[in-house]
Amino acid sequence: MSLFNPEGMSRRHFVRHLAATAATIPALEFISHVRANAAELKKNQKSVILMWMSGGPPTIDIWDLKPGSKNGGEFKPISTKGDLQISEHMPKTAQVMNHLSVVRAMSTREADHGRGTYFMHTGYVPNPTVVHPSFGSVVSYELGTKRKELEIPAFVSIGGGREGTGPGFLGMSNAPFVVDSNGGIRNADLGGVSAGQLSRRLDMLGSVEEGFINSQRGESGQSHKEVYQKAVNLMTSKQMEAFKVAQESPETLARYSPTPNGGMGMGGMGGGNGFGRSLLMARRLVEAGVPFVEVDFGGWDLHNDVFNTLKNRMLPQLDAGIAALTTDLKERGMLDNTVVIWMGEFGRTPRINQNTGRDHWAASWSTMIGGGGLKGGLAVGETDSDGIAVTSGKSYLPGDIWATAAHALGIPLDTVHTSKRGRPMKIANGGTPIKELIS
Amino acid sequence: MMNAHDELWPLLEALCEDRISAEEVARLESLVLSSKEARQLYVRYIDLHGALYWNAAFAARTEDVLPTSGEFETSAPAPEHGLTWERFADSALSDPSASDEAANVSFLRQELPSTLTPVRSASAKSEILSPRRTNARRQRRSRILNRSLAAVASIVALLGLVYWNAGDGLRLASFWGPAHESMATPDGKPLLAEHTHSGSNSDLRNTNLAAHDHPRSPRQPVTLPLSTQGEAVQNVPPGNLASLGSNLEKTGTAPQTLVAEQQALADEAARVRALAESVSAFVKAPSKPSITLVYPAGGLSSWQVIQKIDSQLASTWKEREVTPARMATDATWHRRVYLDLVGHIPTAAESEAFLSDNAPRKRERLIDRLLDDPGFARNQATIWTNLLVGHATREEADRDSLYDYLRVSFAGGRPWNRIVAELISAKGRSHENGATNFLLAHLNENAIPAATMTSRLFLGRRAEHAEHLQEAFGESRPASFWELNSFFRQASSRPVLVLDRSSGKQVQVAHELFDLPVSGPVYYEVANGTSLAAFPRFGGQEVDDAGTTNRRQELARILAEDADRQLARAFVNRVWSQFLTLGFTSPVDDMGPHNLPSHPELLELLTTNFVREDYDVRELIRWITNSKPYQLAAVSNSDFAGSSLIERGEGHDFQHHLSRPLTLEQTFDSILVMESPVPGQQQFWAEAYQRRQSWLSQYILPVETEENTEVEIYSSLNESLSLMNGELTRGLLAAEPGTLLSEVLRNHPKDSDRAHALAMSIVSRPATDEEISMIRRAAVKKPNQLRSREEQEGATLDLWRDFAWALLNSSEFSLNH
Amino acid sequence: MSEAASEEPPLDLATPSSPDDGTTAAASQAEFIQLFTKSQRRLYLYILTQVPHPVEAEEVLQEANVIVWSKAAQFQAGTNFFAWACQIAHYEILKYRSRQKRTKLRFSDEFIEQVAVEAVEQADELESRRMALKQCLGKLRDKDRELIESRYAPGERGKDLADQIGRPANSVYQSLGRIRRTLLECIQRQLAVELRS
Repeated sequence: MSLFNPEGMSRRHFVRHLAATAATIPALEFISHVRANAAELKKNQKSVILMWMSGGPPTIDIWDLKPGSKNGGEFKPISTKGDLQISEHMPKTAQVMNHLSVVRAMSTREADHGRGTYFMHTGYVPNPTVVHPSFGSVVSYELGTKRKELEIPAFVSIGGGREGTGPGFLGMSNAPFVVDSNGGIRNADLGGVSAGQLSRRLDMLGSVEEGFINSQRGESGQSHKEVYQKAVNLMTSKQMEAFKVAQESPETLARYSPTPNGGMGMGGMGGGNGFGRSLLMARRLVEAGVPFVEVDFGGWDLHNDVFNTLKNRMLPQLDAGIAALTTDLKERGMLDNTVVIWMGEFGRTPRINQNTGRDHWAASWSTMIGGGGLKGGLAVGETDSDGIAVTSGKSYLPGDIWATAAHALGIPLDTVHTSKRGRPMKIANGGTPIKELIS
Repeated sequence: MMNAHDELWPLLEALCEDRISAEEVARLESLVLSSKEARQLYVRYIDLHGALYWNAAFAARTEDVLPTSGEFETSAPAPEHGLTWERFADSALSDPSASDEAANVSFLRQELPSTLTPVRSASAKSEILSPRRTNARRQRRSRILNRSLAAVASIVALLGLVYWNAGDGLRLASFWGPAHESMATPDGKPLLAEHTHSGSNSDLRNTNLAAHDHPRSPRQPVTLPLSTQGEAVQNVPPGNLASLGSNLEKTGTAPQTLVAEQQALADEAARVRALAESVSAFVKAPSKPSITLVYPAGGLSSWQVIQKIDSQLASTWKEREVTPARMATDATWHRRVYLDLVGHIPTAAESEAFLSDNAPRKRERLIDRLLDDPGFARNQATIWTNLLVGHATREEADRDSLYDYLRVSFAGGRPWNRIVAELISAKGRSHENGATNFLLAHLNENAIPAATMTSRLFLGRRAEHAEHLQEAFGESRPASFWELNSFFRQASSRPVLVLDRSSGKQVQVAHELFDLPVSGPVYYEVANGTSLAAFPRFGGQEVDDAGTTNRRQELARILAEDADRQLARAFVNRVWSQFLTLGFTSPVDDMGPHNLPSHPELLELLTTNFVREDYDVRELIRWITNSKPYQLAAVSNSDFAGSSLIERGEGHDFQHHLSRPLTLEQTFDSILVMESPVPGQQQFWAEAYQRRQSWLSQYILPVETEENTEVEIYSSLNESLSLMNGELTRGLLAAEPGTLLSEVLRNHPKDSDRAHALAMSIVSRPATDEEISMIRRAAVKKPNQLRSREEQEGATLDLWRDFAWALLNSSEFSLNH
Repeated sequence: MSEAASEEPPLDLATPSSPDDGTTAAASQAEFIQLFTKSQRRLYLYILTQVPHPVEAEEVLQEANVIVWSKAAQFQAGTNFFAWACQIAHYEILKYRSRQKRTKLRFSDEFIEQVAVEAVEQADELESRRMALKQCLGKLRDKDRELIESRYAPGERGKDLADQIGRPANSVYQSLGRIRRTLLECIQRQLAVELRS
C-alpha cells in the first residue's frame, strides 16, 4: 500500500528517490526547487476571502443605517463611491464601495451563536444526523484538488476553526487549517530529520496504517492518510512563506492598519491590529494559490454599549482592513479573481436595548460581497425604515450568498455531494446566485 | 553512630533519589527487617527526606500568594513559650498590637475601625487562659471578634502579613461560617463593619453582622491547643512525657528555636489552607458519609442492571434487524477502557498482564480496579473542568482550584446531585472553595452564561432557546430562561486583594463569590421592546423573591431534589456518550420534545437506577462499561477520525463501537505514560498537570461571545504536525537512558521482542508479523554500509526510532477505537 | 434524593456551617478539623515510611484524608487522633499497594508491617527531630543548603537538578547523600544536647 497517492509520481516514490541522492543534493531545497516550476500558473485562479465577524455584527450601524428612526442609533450615513450609503465610521471603505455591494435583505433563521455560525457557513441548519461541510471545505474539495501545485492547505482559517466551520462529510482532508494572525505555524519544520529518514518513517507509517485499516475499518484511515500527505507537503513547501506576513514592507502593513503610523506590531485577535494583519496574510495566501481563506474578527456580540465600542474599537479596524484589502487586490490585478465576503452569524436587533446595546437578530440584516467579477457599488434588497423587516419582497439565505460565490468561482451549481450515508446534498443548499450581482 | 549500617546508607540514598534497583530493594528490606537499629535508621532517614519535601512544598505555596516574608524572623516578638493555635490565631486576629510591632503602625491606625481600639492594648504575650483576661473581657472580645474577625484578617493581609500564616489559621476558623466580611472591596479598601457601608452591599452586610452578634455564635476560632506541645502531651505515653515536655520548654527559651517552632506552626497553618480547599466538600455531613467505600446493595445489583441494558439492546437489535459487531479484541478493549476511565493508554506491562490473564471475568475485574484508581477521579475532573469552565477560563475563576474540588469529589464518590448543588450554591474564595469557580466563570453579562451553562450541563437543555422553533427570528429568550437567570442575580464576585509590601501595591490573589440581598424580578425585553418581569421560578417551584431568600441555595435544593429526574437523565445521557461516543440524543445537551432520545427505555432504565443508587457516578459507569455495547468492536464505515462527527445518530443502535479521536489531554497523558517505562518510575501527575495545561493552551482559542465558549484547533493538520515534529514526540523519541527507546533496546536484544515492546507501549498490542518483517527489511538495508560500531548503533537506534514514530503517528494511536 | 435538601434547613454545602449552629456541634467540628490539620504532616511522614516516594505518598494521603473526613463522626473526642488516623492511612496504604502490584519497587507486606510499627513507636521522637531539622538546616554550609533546597524545590528531582547545575548526576547524588547524612547526625547531636541540658 502506498501512503500517498497523488497522480503521477507518488510522493513516497519521490521522497524515496531523494533519499538515494541525498548525499549530493540538499534534499529539501531540491524539493522546493522542483515545485517552484509550477509557480506562475495561478494568476487566473479564483479564490474567496471570507471576513467572518464572530459574535454577530450590528449591520444596522454599518451597512444599512436608519436615520430618523428610533432604532437608528448614533451614527449617520455617508455617501460612497458606489450607489449606496454606509456608516460615517467607514470613510475609507466608502472610497472603495464601487467594488463592493451590500445585500441588505438577509433574513436567516438562526439567532443563536452556534447555530448561526453553522447555518451561515454551510447554508444548512444544524441537523442531528449529518454534519454539513462549510463552504470553505466545499471549495477545498472542488478546487483544492485541482490545484496540483498547491502544497499548503486549500482552506486556511486565520483565527477561526469553530464548530460548524469544518469539513463535515467531506472529510478531514478538507478541514480548515487554523493559524493565528501572526502566521506562526507550530511544528511545521522537520527538526533535523533527514529526507531519507522521513521517507522511511512514512513507509513504516504506511505499513502500520495498512494493518490497522485491514483489521478494523476503512475510511478513518483514508482520511488520516490524506491529512498526513498534506502535512508532509506543507512541511517541505516554499509556499509556507505565504504565512510570513512580517515579510511585507512596513508601508504595506501600515495600510491595513487603522492608526496612521502603522504599528502592526501588536497582533492578537479581536483587538489591536490583528484583523488587518490577518487580511494581509489572506492576500498573500490567495496569491500563493489558496482558494479559500477565512479571516476571523471577533468581538461583535455587543449587547452593551454598542456605539462607543463600534466607534472606538471595531469600526476603525474594519474600515482600514476592508479598504486596504480591496485596494491592494485591485492594484495587484487580483480583485476580479477574488471574491470578498463579509458576514457574521446574524445581525443585531434594530431596537436599542436598556444597556445601549443590540441583541441577536436574524430577521433582517446585511452581508457584504464583492470582487470576483461580481458587480460592485450596489445595495441589493432593502429593509423598512425601522430596519425590522425586509420590504424588498425577495430576501436571502446564506445559500444564496454561497451560490453567488460558487458562480464567481466557476463551480457548477448543479454539483451534488453525497453524504456518507448516501444522501445527496446540493452545493450551497440549492441557493441561487443573486442576479443583481452577476454581470 | 551507625557504622554498623554502612551498607544501609547507599541503599537509602538510592531509594530517596528514585534510582534503586529491585535487587537493592530486596537487600534494603532484609537489612531493615534484620535489626531494630536498622529499622530506626530507615524510619528516621525517610522521615528526614519527607520533612524536607513537605517543608519545601509548603514554602512554595505561601510564596505564591505572599511575596513578602522574612520580617517575621527579624522583628516579631517571640511569645514566651508553648505556642498554641489559639494564641497564634488569636494574636493575629484580635490583637493588632502584635502585628503593630512588626509592621507599619501608622498604616494600621488609619485603617483600623474605632471599635477595635480597646482590643489593641492586649498583649501578644497573653494567653487565652491567662488570668489577665477576664470573662467579661472575653465576651466582649468575642463579639468584637465576630464582627471584625475578618476585617482584621484583611488588615493583616494588607499589612503584608507578618502573621500571614496565622491568617490561614484564621481562615480555618472562619471555615465554619461565611467568610465574606473578610474581603477587601474592589477599590481596595477593607470592608470594615460600620465604616464603609454604602449602597446595596450594606444591607446584606448588616444582616450578616446581626447574625454574628448572636452570643452563642461559635466564631471564636480555636479552643483546643494545637501546638506540638499540646499534641505531644496527647500522644506521648506517660513515661516519655516529662522528658519531652522539658525538652520543649528548653527549646522555648531559645529564640532561634522559637522561630523554628513558629515556622513549623506556620507550616501547618498553610497546610490547613491547602487541605481546606481539597476537603471542604466533605466537612458537612460527617454523620452520613457521602463516601461509598463499599458499593451499596439495594435496588438492583450491578449485575442485574447490566443484564437489563444488554437484554433491552438485544431486543432492539432483533426488532430492527441489526446484527451486532463481534467483540473487540482484548488488546483493543483494554486500551479503550484505560482511555475512558483513567484518561490515558495502559503501560506495556499492564497490557501484557491483561492479555496473559486467563482467569474469568477479567474485564469486569479491570473495570473495578480502574474505578478505584486515582486516575479515574483525575479523568472525570478533567472532563468536567473542561465542560464547566473550558480550557480558556475567564480570569475571575481559578480553574485549578475547581479541578481539585472535582477530583476530590469524584475520588470520594460524592453523589452527582450534591456536586451540582455545591457548584450552584458555593460561596467563598476561588482558591479556597473550588466549587465557587463554576459561577465565578459565568457571572458576566448579567449571569446569562450562568443560566445557559446550568441548563445545558446539568439539565441537558438549551434554556436560552427552549422554544427556538417559534422564536427563531429574533433574540427572544423565553420567560423560563429569565426565571432561571433570576436565581443568579444575587450572586456577585469581587477580587481578594493583599498588599505586597515590597512594591507597596495591592495584589489580587483570588476572587470571592458572595450574594447580595437582591430582591424582586429580573426585567427583560422581548422583540417588540416591552419589558417583562421574571421571578425566580424553576421546575414548577416558585421561590420567595425577597432579599432574604438565598436564591442560589433554593435553586441548588430544587436541582438536587430532582423531582422530574432530569438532572439524572441528562447526566446519564452525557456519560453514555462519554463511553459510547453518541448519547441518546445528539447533541447531548439539547434534550426536549424536539429532540427525543433514540432509546427511551434504556435511558429511563439507567436514569431510574442511577437515582436509586443515590447518583453514584462510579456505579453508573460500572454499568455502562460492563454492558455489551461497550465490549463490541468498532467496525463501522463511519468516519469519526475528524474533530467532529461526520455523520451522527440516525439509526445507530450501538451495535458496534464508534471510534473517536483522543482528546488533547488523553494524547498528552498517554505520551507521558510511554515516557516512563522503567518499572518503579512513577508518573508525577501533579507536575504533569501543569505541563499539560500549558501544552494544550496553544491549541485553544476563546470565542468572544456572551456564551463564554472556545474552540479547539488541535485537529487534522495541527494534530499531525504536532505528532510528527512536536515537542512531545521529540521528547519521547530521545535516546537518553531511561527513555522508552533506550529501555526497549537495552532490555530486548531480539528484533521481534523490540518490535513487540514498542508496539505494546504505543498502541497497546503486539507487533504484527508484517511490521516485524517490514523492520527486518529496513534493517538489512543500512548497517552494512556503515563501518564503525558507533555508526551501526546509531543506525539501529534510528531504525527503532522511526518505527516508534510510525506507531505514534498512526490512526491507531490517534483514535480511541 | 433528599439528603441535600432535608438534612439542614439552609442548603449550604460549600460553606460547611451556618453561624447560628449550636456551640457544641461546632466545637466538636472545630476540634476535629484542628486535630485533622495538625496531624497532616505526621500522617504524611507516616505514610512515606511505607510508600517511600514523596508524590505517591501525597496521593495516598489525599485518599486517606477523604476517608478520615467521611468517618469523622466515628472519631471519639479525647482519644488519640493520630493513632486513629494512622490506622486509616495504613489501610489506604494497603489498598494503594494492591493497585500498584506491578511496580518493581515494592516492599514485602512484612516489611510494611514492621516499618509501620516502628514509625508509630518513634512518632514523638520524630516530631522533635523535625524541629531540630530546622536548626540543622541553618547550620549547613551555604553551598550545601542551596543544593539541598534546590533538590527539594517543588517538582524537582535529583536527575533534573544535575542537568540544571551541570554536574554529573552521580556527583550530585553523592553530595545530596552526604548532606542528608550530615543533617541526620546534626539532629542526633541536637537532641542529645537538649536532653542533657
